[in-house]
Parts: sequence; C-alpha cells; structure tokens
Amino acid sequence: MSPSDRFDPDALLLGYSAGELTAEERDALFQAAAVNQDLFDQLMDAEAMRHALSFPEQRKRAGEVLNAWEFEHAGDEELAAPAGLSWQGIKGKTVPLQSRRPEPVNYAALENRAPYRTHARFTDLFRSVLTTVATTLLLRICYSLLTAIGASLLVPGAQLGGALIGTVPPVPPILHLVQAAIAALLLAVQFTPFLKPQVIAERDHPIARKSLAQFIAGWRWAWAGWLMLYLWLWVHGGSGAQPDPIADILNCLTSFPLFWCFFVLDKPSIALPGYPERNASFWRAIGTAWGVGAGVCLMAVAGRLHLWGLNEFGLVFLGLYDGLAIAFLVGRFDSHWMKVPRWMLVPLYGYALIQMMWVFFFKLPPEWQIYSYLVALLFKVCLFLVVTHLLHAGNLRRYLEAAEEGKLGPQTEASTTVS
Amino acid sequence: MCDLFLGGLALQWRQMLPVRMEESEDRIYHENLALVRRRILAFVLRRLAPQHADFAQAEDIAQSCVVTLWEKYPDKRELGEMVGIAIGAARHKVAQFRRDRDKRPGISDWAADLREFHDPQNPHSGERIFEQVAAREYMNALLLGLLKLSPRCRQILSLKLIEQRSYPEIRMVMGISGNIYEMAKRCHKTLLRILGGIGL
Repeated sequence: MSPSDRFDPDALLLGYSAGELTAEERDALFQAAAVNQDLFDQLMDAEAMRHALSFPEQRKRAGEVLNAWEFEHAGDEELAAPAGLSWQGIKGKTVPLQSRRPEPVNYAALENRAPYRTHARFTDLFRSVLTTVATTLLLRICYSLLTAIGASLLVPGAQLGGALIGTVPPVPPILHLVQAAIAALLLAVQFTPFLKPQVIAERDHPIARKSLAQFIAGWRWAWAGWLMLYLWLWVHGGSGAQPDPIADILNCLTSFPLFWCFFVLDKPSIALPGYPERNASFWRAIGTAWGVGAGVCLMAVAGRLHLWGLNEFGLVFLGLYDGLAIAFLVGRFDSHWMKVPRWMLVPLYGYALIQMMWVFFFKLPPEWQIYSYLVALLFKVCLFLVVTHLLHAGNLRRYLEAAEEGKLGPQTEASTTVS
Repeated sequence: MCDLFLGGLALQWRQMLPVRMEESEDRIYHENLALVRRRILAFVLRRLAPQHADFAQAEDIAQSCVVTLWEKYPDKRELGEMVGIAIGAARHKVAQFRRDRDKRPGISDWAADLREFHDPQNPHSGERIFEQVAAREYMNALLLGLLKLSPRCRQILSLKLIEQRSYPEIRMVMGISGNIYEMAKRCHKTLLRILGGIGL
C-alpha cells in the first residue's frame, strides 16, 4: 500500500489483487465498493485475479506463458494484443518454456485464425479493381469541381501567355481573404466551449495535463501564423506583386509551431521537481528546429531577392521545412493510440506534400495555382478537423496519459519517454 | 400516583430499548443485504447480460449470494465484512453459472453426488477441482489482459502479481529509477479496465 493515508481506490485494488492489504485497508475498500458500483465491479475483477493468483501452479503456468510471449515478440515496441483475441481463445495448453533458446515454441493458442481461403483472393482482386474505378471517377469529379470553381476565380488575361502575365496576380486576393477568414474562424473556435478539448485530471496525470496545454498552445500558434500569412497575402497581393520575402518568413512561422506540437508528443517536454533536466532533449530539439527554420528562412529570402548568388532554388528548403513539419506531426497521429482512421491520414500527408511544392506555385500556370490553392485549403481544414477530433474525443488525452504511464516509447527508458 | 405512572412508563421504555436497538440493527442488516444484492445484480447484469444470462438468471445469482450471506454467515453484519464475503460468493456463483452454461465435461454430475464433494480439504473433491478450473479460467483472462498491456506494464505486473516480488526488487530487476509503485498502480488500473472489457 501507499504510505499516503488518503483513500486511494487504485492503490487498494492493486494491494487486494496482490494480497497485500491489511484488515483495515480491506475493510475501507469493501465499504467504499458497497456504495460505488464501478469500484465494486473492479473489486470483483480484482477478487477473481486474487483467487487465480492464489494457486501456485497457475502462477507458474502464467509465468511460462508470458515468457513464451515475450520471447516470440522480442523487439516489438508497441505491442498490441491481436485483434479478436478472446477469453475462450487463450484456453488450453501450458507452455514448457523457461530457457531463451531460439527455437520455435508451442504455446497457448492465442489466435484462431481461419485459413486464408482462395475465394478471398478473388474478393481482394475485385476490391482492387473497384478501388481503381472509384478513384478514377472520384478524382475526375474533383477535377471538374476544382476547374469550375478555379475558372470562376481566374483573373482574365492572367492565363499562361496572357497579356497581363506578371502584372496581375494569378491567385485573386479574395481567395487569400477567404483563407484568412477560415483561419480566423477556426482559430476563434478554439477559444469557445464548442468542440472543447477533453481535460486531463491534474491529480491523475499531471505531466500529460501540462503536455496537452503545450500542444494546444502550439496548435493555436500555428493557426495564428496562418491567419497572419493569408492576411498579408491578401493585403500585399492586391498590389499585383509576386510572393515576397515577408510571406516566406510568415510561412516559416506557421511551420515551426507544428514542429513544436510534434516534439511535445515525441519527447518528455515537462520538467519534474526532482528532475529538472527531464525536458532537456525537448528544448534541444526545439532549439534545433528553430535554428533550422531560421536558416531555411534566410536562404528563401536570399533566393527570393537573388542575393549571395542564389535564385529561387533557395525556396526548396523552405518547402521541405514546411512539408516535414506537417509530415512529422501527422506521423505521430499514425499511432494506434490516437485511433485516427487510416483514410483520414491521406489528406494530411497530402497536405505535407503540397507544402513541399507550394513554394514553386508561382512557376505554375495561373489556373493550376488556383486549383492547388483550393486543394491546400481543403487539406488544411481536414487537418483542423482531425486535430479537433483528437482533442475533443479524448484520443490525444489517452495518448498523453498512456505516455505518462510509460506505455509508449522504447522499453529501456522506463520513465523518461513520457511526453 | 403520577410519579408511579411515570416510573412505570420509564421502566417499560427501558425494557423496550434493547428490542428497539435490535430492530434497528436488523433494519441496518437488511439494508446492507439489499445493498450488497443490488451491487452483485448490477455487476452480473453488466458482465453477463444479455449475451450470457437474462435478467432472471442474474437475479438468481445475486439472490443466491445474499442467501449464502444470510445462512452461512449470520454473524457477519458489518457492511465491509458482508461485501468481503459477498464478492467471494459472487465470484463462485458466476463461475458455477458459466460451468453449468457450458456444461463443462471436466466435472461430471455424478461427482456432485459424492460425499467428499464439498470437502475443501480433499484435493480430489469436486469442489476443489471446480475451484482449480475456475482459477485456470480466471488466469487465462488475466493473461489475456496482461498481453494487451504495454511490455513495461506487463513486466511490472508480472513481477508484482505472478512472481510476487516487492517494489524495491521490481525496481532493481527493471532498472527503473522512477516511482515504480505509481507505475504499478496505473498499470493495474488499466489491467482492470481491460478485464472489465473481456468480461471476467
């Protein structure tokens, strides 16, 4: 039991399962369970556990099964129990394994997979054909929609080879204003009770709670950056000038917070009272990402102004920086703890790819610029929806709590991989 | 006259006092029984209904636990004590229910007729075998839950529950400098949540 005197049902339940409670502690637990159904249910499970563990032969068997399992899955980091595993499915054979010999072991049948039937292959083939047809149709419809919307926004004379090329901006300023308005709206939504992020209890997960606050701050910062960028493009674009160095700097400033969000999810970002250097790697990474961003920004600006013998190729690095920021963050959303449907990741990775190309959009035909701009807007909204869903539905909360509980990260760094 | 009357009334009241206290204790006892029954019924309904048991069967299980309390442990009248006995009884009754439902061949009906069936000291008694079979099934569910945990949690709980090591020992084995007790507590909480989902 914990040395603390306060009533801690989790501690008491652990003590009960392990058979380590004193009579007073047991009584306190029973009394509490009598008036709390959830606690009573947990107590019933703990009772079953205690009962099973009271048989030495069962403990021995369990140890052997776990040994065999660990041996079989040595090296797996994020070990998920196989889907469809049932209680009945684990019934059966004991595992005669104590040594760590590299031989195949026969252990309890944990899965009851049906053999892959031949007709399933035909189904897969059919599915593939169906997907091809559906993709072609869908993309054709998307293209029609984009061209219809894009053509209506195209400035007359700005087409490739048109008389006004170079003097009229290919992307009309109104589109920048629309982007800015959407960014402002989505940023404002984050400060309202609508779709509010799930709160993490300070008492249960203090580290996860602070990490979540860091993530939200970074996320809002990114949207504020986008808002500034599109406002600038709107104001500046009206003059008919090409994209300018200030837009590049603002663009870079939208990517840095995305790196911030990624590092919050990836590294221990909170220092602890007795462990102030815990977040050192986080700040190192932030410093590096910031430094790289500033360097990339300098290259882009120099390239844009044709300084230091550079041309627009300097913008490539900015595109890479932007794209990687989103790709890294989306890569974290790939975690099964986040439970983001796989198909939702498609627009997010697509957005990362578009970011990499965005800096060269001014080299594209004007109508193409508008189409890509619209697609990027769509992907950006998708990114917002996914992150808002993660925050609101509690998936991100669960991820951070799991990180604090030491369920994520490499096995060797027991308590240091917490966000 | 008046004093005599009042004195008599007081005497009568004093004589009635133990009866009243007894009535009050009985009332509390019955309230406790009802509370325990409600908890068990809700648990069984949550875990077994509607796939494995209907409401009537769940009520039977809860009722039989209360009857066990009432008949076998009439002197256990504190709520804590009653819950302690009730959870053991409920575990047993649920296991019995599962066995009867599955018609497990490991324990034949004739075994129930043997005289030694209910002898807990006899290692070959039906009761003993039944308990071992139930323990095996619980252990399977526990293993399933452990396999669904992260490797670290699995190792901590395996060391704590299965190998029955102390916390300092676990810290040494795993080479963890953090609060191993807090980690074990959280892992156990997750394990209970998983076991709840499995339907122990």
